[in-house]
Amino acid sequence: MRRCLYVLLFVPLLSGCWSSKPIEELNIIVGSAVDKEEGNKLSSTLQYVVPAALQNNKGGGTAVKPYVNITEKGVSLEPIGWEMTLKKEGFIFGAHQKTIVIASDVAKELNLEELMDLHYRDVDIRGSANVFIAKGRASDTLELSDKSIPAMHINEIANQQLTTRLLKPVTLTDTFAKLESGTSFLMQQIVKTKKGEVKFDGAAIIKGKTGKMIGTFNKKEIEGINWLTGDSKSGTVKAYRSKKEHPVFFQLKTLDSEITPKVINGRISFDVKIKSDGRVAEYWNPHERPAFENKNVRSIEREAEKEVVRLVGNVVKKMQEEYKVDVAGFGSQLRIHYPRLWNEVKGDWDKTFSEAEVTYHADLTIQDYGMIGKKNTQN
Amino acid sequence: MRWRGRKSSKRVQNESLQPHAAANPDHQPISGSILADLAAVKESIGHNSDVRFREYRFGPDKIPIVVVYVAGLSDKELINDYIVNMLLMDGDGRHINNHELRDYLFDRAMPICELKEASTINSFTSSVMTGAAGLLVEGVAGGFTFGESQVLKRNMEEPPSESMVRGPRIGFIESLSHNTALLRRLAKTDSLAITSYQIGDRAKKEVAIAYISDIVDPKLLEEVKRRITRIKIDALQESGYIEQLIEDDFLSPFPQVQNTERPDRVLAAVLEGRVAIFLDGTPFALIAPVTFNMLLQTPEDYYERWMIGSLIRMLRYLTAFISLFTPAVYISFVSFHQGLIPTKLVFSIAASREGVPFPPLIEVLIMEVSIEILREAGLRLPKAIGQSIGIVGGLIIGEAAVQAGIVSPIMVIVVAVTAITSFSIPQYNAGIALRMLRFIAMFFAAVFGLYGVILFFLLLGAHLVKLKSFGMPYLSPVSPYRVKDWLDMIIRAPLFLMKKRPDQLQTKDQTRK
Amino acid sequence: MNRLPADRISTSQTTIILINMMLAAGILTLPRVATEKMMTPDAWIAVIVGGLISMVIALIMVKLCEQYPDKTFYQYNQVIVGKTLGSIISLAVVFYFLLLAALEVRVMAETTGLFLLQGTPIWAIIMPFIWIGLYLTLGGINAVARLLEIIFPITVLFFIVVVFLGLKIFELDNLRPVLGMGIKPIIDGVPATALSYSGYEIILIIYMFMQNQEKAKKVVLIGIGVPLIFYTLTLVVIVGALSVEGVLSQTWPVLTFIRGYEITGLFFERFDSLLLVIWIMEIFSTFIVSYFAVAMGLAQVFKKDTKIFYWGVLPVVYLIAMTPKNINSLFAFGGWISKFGFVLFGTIPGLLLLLSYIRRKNT
Repeated sequence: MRRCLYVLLFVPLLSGCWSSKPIEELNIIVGSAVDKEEGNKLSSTLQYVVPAALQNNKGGGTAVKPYVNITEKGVSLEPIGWEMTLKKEGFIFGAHQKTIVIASDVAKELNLEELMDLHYRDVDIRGSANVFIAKGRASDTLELSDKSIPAMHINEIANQQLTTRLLKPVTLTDTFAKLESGTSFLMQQIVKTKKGEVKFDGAAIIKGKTGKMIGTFNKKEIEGINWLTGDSKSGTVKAYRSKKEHPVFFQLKTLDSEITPKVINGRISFDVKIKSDGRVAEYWNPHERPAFENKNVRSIEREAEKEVVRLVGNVVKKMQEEYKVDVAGFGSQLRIHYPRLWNEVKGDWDKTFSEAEVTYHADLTIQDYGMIGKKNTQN
Repeated sequence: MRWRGRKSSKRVQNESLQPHAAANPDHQPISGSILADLAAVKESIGHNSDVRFREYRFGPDKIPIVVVYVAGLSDKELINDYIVNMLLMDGDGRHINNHELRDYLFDRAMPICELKEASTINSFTSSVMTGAAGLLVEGVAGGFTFGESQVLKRNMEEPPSESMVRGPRIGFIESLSHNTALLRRLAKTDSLAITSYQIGDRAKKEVAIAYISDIVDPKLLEEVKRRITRIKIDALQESGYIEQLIEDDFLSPFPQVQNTERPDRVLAAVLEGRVAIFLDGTPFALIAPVTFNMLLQTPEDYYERWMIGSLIRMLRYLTAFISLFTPAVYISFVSFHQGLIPTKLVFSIAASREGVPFPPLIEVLIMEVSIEILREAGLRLPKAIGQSIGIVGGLIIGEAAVQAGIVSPIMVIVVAVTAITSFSIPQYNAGIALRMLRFIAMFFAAVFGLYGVILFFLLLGAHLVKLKSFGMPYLSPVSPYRVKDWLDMIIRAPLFLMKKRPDQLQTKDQTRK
Repeated sequence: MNRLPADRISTSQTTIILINMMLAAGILTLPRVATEKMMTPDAWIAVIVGGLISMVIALIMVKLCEQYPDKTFYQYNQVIVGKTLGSIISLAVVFYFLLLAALEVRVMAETTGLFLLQGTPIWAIIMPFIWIGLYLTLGGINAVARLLEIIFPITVLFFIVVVFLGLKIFELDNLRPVLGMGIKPIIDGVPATALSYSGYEIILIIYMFMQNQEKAKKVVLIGIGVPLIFYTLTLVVIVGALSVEGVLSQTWPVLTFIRGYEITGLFFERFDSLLLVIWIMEIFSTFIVSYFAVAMGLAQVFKKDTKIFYWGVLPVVYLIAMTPKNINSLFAFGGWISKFGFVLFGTIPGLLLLLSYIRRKNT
């Protein structure tokens, strides 16, 4: 009986370490970019971290770039990866990949689901990596002038979601779920500025059916989307009490939106209710209207509500008329409330949606106005 | 009178069991003719330079008597007192005939409690050699022995192997009778039973077992007695011998009997229904049966308030876990599952391992083995030098190894953490067991990564669930579940909740009164 | 073959054997398997219904066992239907457990090979696993039960924690509407979900070892109830996070789900491989219990010492485990085993119970 124990102890010793890969020999990828090349080819840029350089920079030694970008060309991502192993020693290790940037011209031409298949299939790559669309060349966004790691840098901004002008980040898992169910969706768009910085700029619209990019929304329209979906955690909306006056800024604290589908005689319509609590963040106030008076507060609220409805209305109009896609989850609400009807219309939902009528209600409440209730009238 | 006779005859029987019985004329009785007896005694032990013979004459009849003792071993004061007393009385001036002489000596001349009779030369000499003073009297068949070896004892001090912040500062010493007396003083109950045995074929040593007779499970007691009496050995040097001879599984790395120097620990154990085993000549008492979680407990857990006790106890479980698995988990993360740890940690580990020529397993082995060597070296040296070994080893070698690029700094942290955690386990031998197992865990991890760690865990679990200590599952009350005992497992519940004795021990008296 | 009284297992141990036997590799694919036939987010309702059906079958088994409290299934079926037929039934049961043991080993090896140890040969993964199983089972039912008592809380706690950590990617909308397509999809889904409970049939074999046999009914109900809660929770959270379409496309939906989030600020960022590693213990427990059932069954059919079979069955398990060529044939193999088991244990205990009543009446 006990002899068994002995035999057991010998088993691992007889074998070996098949899967062991020393950590220092890995090429740890934090970001990748896909670009279009001539002759129907793709080029993929992988961003490797150089840990030693990262460590040295901390110590205050001579600053070395803590990353290396390597680019190869090929017909798809897998052969490009193998090509790279000819160039740099060590395994390509994707488990820490945070950022995937796809050039907009690639996204316009190729089905994303096919392009990203390698990422979905690979067991190492995390589903929580964020996917971005780049205006211009994607590989440029992975090259910054300062010495931080660009891929990490981009990812951190995206995850913070400090403003309503930034879309909720889209992860690998999200894109897969959307593409798999044929739902259209938005992706964050980044662009490299002339100064060598990376900036978030609007969103790319991906049509679920084809998996291709069909257009973009600018920052203003993103605001509309965020108010519509209720995804933002913070941000402001400006309200003009009158054309002559300076704007007042309503800073939101909570945001909640609800899309209710209605079906009357087979005609689908939606009602959007937006509820938000917030505070007055900035109020240039030439007429010395004190915020201590409810009347003034109420009028700011009303103006802000108008602005919200305008923002949301604009973007829905653009979705319905220009792009004819639903990227704000109208369809999913219809599926929940009218599952049988949904089964009939889901085949061509983007088109059906573009004909639906949408009404808006915004309900903003100003809870406080910070430390200042009134301007000093003496000066 | 009858019991005396029986006792001596028993002794004769015992003597016959001795292996060298055949060589000596073992049954040669003490005849009463002092010359013949003395010659026989001298032949047996007279060649020893420390054996002294002193002759006197006693009573009006001038009966020759001889005192035999071992210089330095026998209690000289006792000899002087009683021999002088005896001589002074001088037989009360009476003429005592031979058959009265024996009773006279017993009842009048030497009224001391420790006076014993030896009927054969052999039993006489063996008593003398273990420290009693022997007395041969002309005309009395059979010699007398009295007193026992002068106890060379030290003071009862705080046991260095189990020091505590709070608790009695007293520990056992090398004398069995003092130890049992100490236990009795603390227990103050008439149901504390102490049974003693003479174990050892060549050198007989007294072994005593202590238990509370109306608590202990009779089956357990029977089992302990059976195992103790079954011991066949030349001589018991230390209670570790007993431990190894009565344990259940000699292949297990885990101690299956607990040892302690603390009387309060022994008392707590016997009150729970366990059995304590003492051996003369060692301060370490044994407690059986033992369970895994006892190895991680100290009496102090009960002396401090329950929250402190519970927290510290949980901390110890954590340290045991860390001590066992940290190097293995480190190896599997560094060479297999780099994707599981935070990105920034990956960067710093990768940077720190840059340039280290060895794979993680070898790296860990180098450091773990050298720390074991350091520990061993520091332990055997005088205290003052031992500390400097620690400094040289820990600081200088560690720092230099990192500087030289042989090991990575993170590795040094891992090894230091595991070393410290393994020292924080209260039972020394349990700490060593965990250290041993840590190496096996490391090998598993080096081949299979986390899968290997889990395999090791399953193997360890399989071993532990099969292991028993005196018939009690080693892992109870964790497995099998004894929910009632969980109050005193990882946490230490407030005392008023622990009204029951451990369920696992199946005591006769379940409630603590 | 007559067990010593020391080899009894307590009520809680029986329950834990039952639960551990059911929770195994199946849960890793459960969301996909359960949703496949239904195509609605209501799979969790089907799982509850499947669990209730399993409880009824298990109660029938307990009723049967109660007729012969001091015999195992292998022994008393010979009393009911005669020596030859009884032996055949016993061998079928043994065969079922043998396949189950092999299947668990192979699924463990596949997932480990894919997620944890890419490049390690499959035999190297399997060998130490079954060696440890052998070492443990040689200690008898008691050792098995005690190890399961350790494994159970660790795995279950860990699984629940990992699932709850993922709540941040959970979207209730993915689960709505409830019963949007009516009852029909649920009826379609029940057979698949009922199969996912296979494992409770071990009560036929371990009933004899129970200390308090009168509590067997309670044991069965709790023993199935816990996996029921477990399965329902898993389905709700995972379909909620991945949506029906997402679940359907994933080979191992549970692992995909855990891959979809990361927790920063802890020592681990990802939990998928970690969960898998912990879950290996659960697979191990199913393996050893089946293995025990096989060895004991063979020993009682052929009336030989159990130890011979512990050693002898080991290579057979290994060979069967190595049979499926790829992951598809492995899933097919798994599906086939659970159907085989369902037919075997859905019909035979009922028939035997009927026959034993008739036999009682006649005598």
